[in-house]
Amino acid sequence: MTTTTETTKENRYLIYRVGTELYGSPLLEVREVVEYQSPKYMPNMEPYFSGVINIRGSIVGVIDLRKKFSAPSDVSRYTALLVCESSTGAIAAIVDQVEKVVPIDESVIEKKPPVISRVESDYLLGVANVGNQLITLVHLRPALMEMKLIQVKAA
Amino acid sequence: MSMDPELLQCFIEESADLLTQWEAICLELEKAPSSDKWDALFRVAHNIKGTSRSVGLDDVGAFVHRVEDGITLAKQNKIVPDSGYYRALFAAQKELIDWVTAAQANPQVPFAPSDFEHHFRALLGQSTPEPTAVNEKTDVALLTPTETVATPVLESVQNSPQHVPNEIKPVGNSAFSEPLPSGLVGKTAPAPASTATPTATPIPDETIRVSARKLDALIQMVGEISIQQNVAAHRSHTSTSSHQDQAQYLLKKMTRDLYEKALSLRMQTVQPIFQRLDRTIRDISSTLNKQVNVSLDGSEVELDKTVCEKIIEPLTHMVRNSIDHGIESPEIRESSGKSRTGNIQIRAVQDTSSVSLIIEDDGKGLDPKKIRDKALERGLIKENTPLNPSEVFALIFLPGFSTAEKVTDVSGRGVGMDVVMRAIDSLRGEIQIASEVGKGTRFTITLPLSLTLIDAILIGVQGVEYAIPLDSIHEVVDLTSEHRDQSTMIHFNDRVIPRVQLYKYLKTHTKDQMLGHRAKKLLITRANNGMVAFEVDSVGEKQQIVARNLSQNIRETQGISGGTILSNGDPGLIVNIDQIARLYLAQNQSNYQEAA
Repeated sequence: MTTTTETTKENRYLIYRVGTELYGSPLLEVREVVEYQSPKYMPNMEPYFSGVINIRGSIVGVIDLRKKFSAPSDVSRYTALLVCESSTGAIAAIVDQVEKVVPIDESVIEKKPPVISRVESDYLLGVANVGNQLITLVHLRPALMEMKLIQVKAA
Repeated sequence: MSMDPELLQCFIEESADLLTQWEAICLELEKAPSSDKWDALFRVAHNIKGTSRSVGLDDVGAFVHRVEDGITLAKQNKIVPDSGYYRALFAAQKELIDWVTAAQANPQVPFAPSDFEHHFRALLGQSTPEPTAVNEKTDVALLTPTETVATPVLESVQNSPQHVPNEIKPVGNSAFSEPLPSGLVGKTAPAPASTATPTATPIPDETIRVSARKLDALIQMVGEISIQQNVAAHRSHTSTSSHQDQAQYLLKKMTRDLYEKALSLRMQTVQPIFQRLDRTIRDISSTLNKQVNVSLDGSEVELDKTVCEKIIEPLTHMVRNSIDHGIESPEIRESSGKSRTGNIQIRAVQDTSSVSLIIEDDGKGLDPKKIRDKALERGLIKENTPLNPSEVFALIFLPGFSTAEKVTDVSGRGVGMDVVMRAIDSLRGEIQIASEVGKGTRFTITLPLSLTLIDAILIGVQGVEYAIPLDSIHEVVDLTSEHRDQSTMIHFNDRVIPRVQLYKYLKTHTKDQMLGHRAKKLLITRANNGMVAFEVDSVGEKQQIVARNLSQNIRETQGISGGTILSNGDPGLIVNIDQIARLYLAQNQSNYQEAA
């Protein structure tokens, strides 16, 4: 495939790796990428919730996507945090490595891939083949925002 | 009807203020009429009429005009206002405020008071009013239609002796833009850094309207400065230059001052709350045919805006209860040797770090026996549960206690005292009850002055560090080695109180949770008048922390009330120990006593 995709604001995707698999999310859904910092433990939460971190004075919760996707949770110098934000607050996700930002044309996205994905179908955008690599495209912001995080709720 | 939305917004805000004044004046007039008050009410009504017509709301204008006719009659002593007259005045205010509230959301809502003719008649007696031309002068307190709030404030600042000329240049007409700098300048600019408490420029009783969003942004920013300062202080601990220490000290002091100034912008007097309670009492007592005399004290006391907003519903609920269940009917009162008119006293008292709101009635009081029986019947306690009087009263706050056995219009519509409790809890407040059968009941609500600046101590539980507000800890007890292994109870001040492992309520995912675990300290807390001793691993230094809300999806976690940044720059979590204590007591109310 030699056609180059024209880059617009909307079709740029942030590509990142969790375990051995590649994922991509619309760039505009990610507020920032920050260096990994060890989260402070928070009790009564789901196992894939790692705790909270301090991002310039704000307390931000951290979801470990590796645990969520059953990948080993080692920390390397590539480990990074993707921060998403909505009106209800910010949330960060641990990924193993941030790869690149690429434009992906709508037409090359396989909307209903015939594979079982770890991503819930509500948030699954599809699968794209970029440079012979399969990338699972995810609506990261809503996926993080709507994830059940609290294990024991206040009565 | 199409009109300039900005103009309409302006009108709505102004009308809301004026209608609040309307209500306040009516409440006073009904108690003790005077010509001053009639004049004031007339000015308010006239103002609303004028403004509404100027923005093209003729139907509102016409309505107010007819009310104004009635006010004119009373003002000129041509009629003697009776209860129907006052009812009509209050009803008119309600019609208008309801419409204003609706128009805020949707400006297209038509103003359509229904069935108001009998009220108009009540306002007029039988006579037809002569149109009176009153050449009223609007004073500063009752803004003229074209003025914004900012202008008088600026003037008053500029006229004050402390003001440095040229400090404030009016930068715009927005009502929101000036009060912020003027408030800050008036308080901080004239003071050198070393002066701890510069006297504030006295601004006569005016309302400064500041956009809450801007205010929050400022507070957030200043909060961050204070955090940064803490971080810097922590890092420079290693270098020992005395100059640096001094600079640090001053910086800390200034930051703290600045932060408190910023917070004070959020402080509001409780006067609007009192006014609303006064109105509620007036309306409910007439519905229930009870005679109630209200006395209000301390309306100048200030509370954080959020506290004011969140406390009004619980308070309204409580005064409803006081009238419905507390104050007896005039006949019963008379037969038991009391005055026919019941008394409700509402007071606000300021303390160094808290404000107490006290609601006291001279009604029939809470009957401990009845409460006990009801709690027993609801399965909240057991037959043999020993409870002291204050613990018995505290039972009314348990969920499931007040399940509306007789639903009245006024109270008992399923909203129990547990809702009141929860609201007060969310404000880090406390509530206490004192009551005597036949004499009356007193509720004392103690609220923190500020929700964000907290004195806290750091504790360790299972290797995790948490912050706990100092005001929720009664005492810290060192566990000597022989005490460490006794697990369920502790003797404290001649009482036996349950010992609870705090980590059980702060669940972690580590598997070796109990391995080699030995608590070294006990935190004695008091919730709902019941005491609980929490076992923790360590108790650390005291720190002043700035509380932060957690984002919505992690906010409702059991036992955690918020987050903060600790002085080493790490994020920290604030433990709501009162909530955990109450949870424990609710789960164990009936059986912990048996184990003793």
